Amino acid sequence: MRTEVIAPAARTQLRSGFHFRRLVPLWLLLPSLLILLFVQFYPTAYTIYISLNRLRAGQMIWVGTANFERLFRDANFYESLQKSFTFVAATVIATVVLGLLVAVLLNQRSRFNPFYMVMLFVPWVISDVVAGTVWRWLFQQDYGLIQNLISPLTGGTSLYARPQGAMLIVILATIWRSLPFTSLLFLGALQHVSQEVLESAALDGASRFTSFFRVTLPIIRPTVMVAIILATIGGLNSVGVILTLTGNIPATETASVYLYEQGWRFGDFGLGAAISIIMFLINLILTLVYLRFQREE
Amino acid sequence: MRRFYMFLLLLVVLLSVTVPVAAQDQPAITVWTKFNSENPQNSQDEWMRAAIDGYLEATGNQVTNVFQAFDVINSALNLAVQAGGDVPDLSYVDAQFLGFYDYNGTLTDLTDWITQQSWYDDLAPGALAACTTPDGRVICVPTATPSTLVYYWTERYPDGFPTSAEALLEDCSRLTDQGLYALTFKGTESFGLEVAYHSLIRSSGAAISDEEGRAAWANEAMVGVIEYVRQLFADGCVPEIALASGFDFENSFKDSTAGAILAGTWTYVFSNPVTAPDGTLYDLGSDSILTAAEEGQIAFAPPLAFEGGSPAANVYATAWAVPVGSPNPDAALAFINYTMQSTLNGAFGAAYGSLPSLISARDAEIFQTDYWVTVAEIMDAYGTPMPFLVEYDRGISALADVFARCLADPSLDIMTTLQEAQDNYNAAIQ
Repeated sequence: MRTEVIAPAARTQLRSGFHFRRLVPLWLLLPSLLILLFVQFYPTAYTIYISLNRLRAGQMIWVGTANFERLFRDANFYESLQKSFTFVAATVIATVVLGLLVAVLLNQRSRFNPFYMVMLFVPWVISDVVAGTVWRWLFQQDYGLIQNLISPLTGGTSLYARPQGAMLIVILATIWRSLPFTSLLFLGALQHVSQEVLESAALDGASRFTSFFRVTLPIIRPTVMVAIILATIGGLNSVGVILTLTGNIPATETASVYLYEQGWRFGDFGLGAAISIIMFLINLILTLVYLRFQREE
Repeated sequence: MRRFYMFLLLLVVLLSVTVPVAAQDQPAITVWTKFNSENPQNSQDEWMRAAIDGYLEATGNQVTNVFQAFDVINSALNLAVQAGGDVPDLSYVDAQFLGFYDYNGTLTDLTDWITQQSWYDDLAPGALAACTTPDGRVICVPTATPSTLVYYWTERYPDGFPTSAEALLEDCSRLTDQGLYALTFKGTESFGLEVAYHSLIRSSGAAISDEEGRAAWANEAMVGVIEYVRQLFADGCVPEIALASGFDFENSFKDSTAGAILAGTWTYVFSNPVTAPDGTLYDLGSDSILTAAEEGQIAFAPPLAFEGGSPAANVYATAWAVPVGSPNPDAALAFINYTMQSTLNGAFGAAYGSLPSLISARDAEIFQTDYWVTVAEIMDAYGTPMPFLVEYDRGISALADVFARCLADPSLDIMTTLQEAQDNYNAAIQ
């Protein structure tokens, strides 16, 4: 048996080479990590810092948790959270259900599909402000296209004038805006469902309805969860469409609009940052719940 | 009237050529205004464009105007200064935000500079006061003094607009029987509180703020005001659209289904065309309402007030201000100086829909019409400064929110809602 004796110098060289190879992935990741630190962690940390301060005459004044205490005593904040949850629940449910329906329809073979796809994508590519303005006109009291149709039901008054009506318009506009993306997500998932599996289900006597709910839906469930997470986060953080449609009226003041009001309009950065941290935690908790739910499934 | 505007604008350009004001090289400056000079939509926008062109002609100095929405320009300016962002050289400001700007240290002290200007002694005392802090510093340059009043269709109110809020309810009953509204106004947001509710609040004896700029609106008189407005909506005196955001509420005055509108002196600039009760259409842009008034279809009255109280015609001031951190303050002051020539200042007042801040500018022919004579009389008799709130926009918006909530939900307890909003505001300014 032959034993190789490695000199101490060579051993050190080998060891350092081993260390270097182990560190290579880290070195390769470093640029990305630095960028991530700069664009993600720094703003988050700075937001936490601002939330513990008040900005007055260009000076940061340390106030500890005073901004959070103010926020938790503020009835308007709780009301805005409640409106956010109503808004998110309505938009997520409608977007996911309608998105699935549209995706199923688009998944059928039709020579008009490219045209339908283009039509579907229009609401997605236009800006929040344009979308908001279009929807505002649709319900304008005197010449709004939809308002004219529903006027007999509303006594001639625009839906905007009523708190529930204003919220309904905001929800409808948001569903219209987010439907294309959700539909496309579902369409991609549907197109990856194996034909053999569907044919096997059909051979076993499953109707198209049963096949969809018992076979297709479980297969695309991860995509459905992703769509729910994205629609929830999008809904919670939505500002543009709401502000364009209904301005600053209390009826549609969701938490994100409240954050905009306090932070940007009134220049209360401390309170704005405190609200954004609460919103961040809500987003995080909801996402974790969805992921946990998905893992258990 | 339109011809007169054209004449004024022409005069601006001619002045620029013939009167070289401060014709010295200044760096190009950026100005924030609520006037869209790039894509003019009304006489205010056109004035701004003419002023920029005229200044360039007269001095060779460049001014770039950045258009900001009317309801965010003050907060956006404060935000830019506080956050150390891109601060303009010069900005339009609303003087009712004086306390807010002073509290935040947003604007440069112009006291020494303004007292040395040739037009200083020509400034209307009320206008100058609107830009003067309680400790005597002048932090903005007033350019015009808009106010509030009532426009009404004379056919809807043959005996004149009622002299009290209580009397209006009787007219309301008469007009609603004919399928009409007694009046319209913006019932939401800070604009609604300033233009529609301020006079009612003041005449009821209700306080809005205390001497230190804290909210003091949770009082029985304020409850009475909100109850009165609730009654206006419940009785159908006001169209429900008044509770929506935006300016759709104006339409019922424009088609004369509402007998009156709680307006600002500038309302005629935007609220057009109008159709009189007899079907006559006035489609003359900014001249529509003034022409209808000349023909006796529309008349004007002091703001709505409770019996026993005095109407409150808001004393506002539009102004120029140099923000702290302005990159070219001297160039900004040179541009202010240019626009404060009497003729240009008068042209601004006419274009804005307001009396100009210079007394000499009020001698212009346009301000001798019935409309402006009435405006001047109302302002002289009932001019009332806006409430002093440390954070004006936050305070006025919070009180406007209370009105909106209580009107949208008639079962809401008014005093509790007022108290919550008051506590919240006072906590925010500590």
